Amino acid sequence: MANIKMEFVSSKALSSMESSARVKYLLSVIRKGYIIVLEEKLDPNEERLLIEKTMQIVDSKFTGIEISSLGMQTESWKNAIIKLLGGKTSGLTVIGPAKLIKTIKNDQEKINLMAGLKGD
Amino acid sequence: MNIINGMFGKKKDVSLGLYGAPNAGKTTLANKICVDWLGEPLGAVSEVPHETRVVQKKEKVNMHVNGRKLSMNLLDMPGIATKVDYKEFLRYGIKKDEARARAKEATKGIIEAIKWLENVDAALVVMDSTQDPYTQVNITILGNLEARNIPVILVANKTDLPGANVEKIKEAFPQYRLVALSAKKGDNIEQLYRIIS
Repeated sequence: MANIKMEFVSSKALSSMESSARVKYLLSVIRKGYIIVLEEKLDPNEERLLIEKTMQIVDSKFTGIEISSLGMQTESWKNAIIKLLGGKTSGLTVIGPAKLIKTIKNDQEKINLMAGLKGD
Repeated sequence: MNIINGMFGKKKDVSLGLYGAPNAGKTTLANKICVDWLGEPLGAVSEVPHETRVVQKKEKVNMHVNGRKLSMNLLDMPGIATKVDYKEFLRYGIKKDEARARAKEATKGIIEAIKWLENVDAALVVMDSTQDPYTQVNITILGNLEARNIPVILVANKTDLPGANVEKIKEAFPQYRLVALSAKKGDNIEQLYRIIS
């Protein structure tokens, strides 16, 4: 049975990064085959940026990502103020390579994920 | 959103973007609107995902509803997705080289649709009523439109199909105005026109 690699990331770990750097970091980890559990919800702009940057690197080997999140959608400027004041934004995000995540389902209170290597 | 003056307020020359996941029925709806008000369709429809891979635009769609005239630029966006696998197209009988090219075009189309999020005056976010609506794609589209104060109408499409569950969309996104319709059959399309205008 193939091993599934996961990385649990605290919101503090990414707090000093700007949106583009956060997205770059997340994608670099995902491309190494990790499923990331992030201790916060990305803001709408970061989600948009993540999809955009993902699409720029999609090819026959890396087919994209699966992503799901819990928590209230918070605007970027509110997130920035919360982080500036040393606070934590609430929420949770699970992201991983599309080839690894078979199903991901979100009922707004919990996320169910099934992972495994998909057959070619 | 100013309900008295429709989703565009007092604007009379506006751009309306159709957003959603692949195969939600965006082009079918765009075609229905164009046929009703211009007499000609906008683009090709297919069961193969990512059939629309560039933004399709129809200018000067003139709508006359309830004594109000509205001139719209209708923008049918490529479906937004977080993954594109060329192998998915092989299942529809498309050859490998063509499938790879199609996948590449689809990724470019998604980027284009995302960039357009900043440039529409209002949006119809189209969802397939037979599918789970609470997906990251829908959340991301709505979050970005909301962050830019762009008026949104949710379209619960494919109500003619067995298994359509409009209530599930209402429960997932209760803060938005919603129209349940079948773009293919034209059921309840008038309600959409009333709200837009």
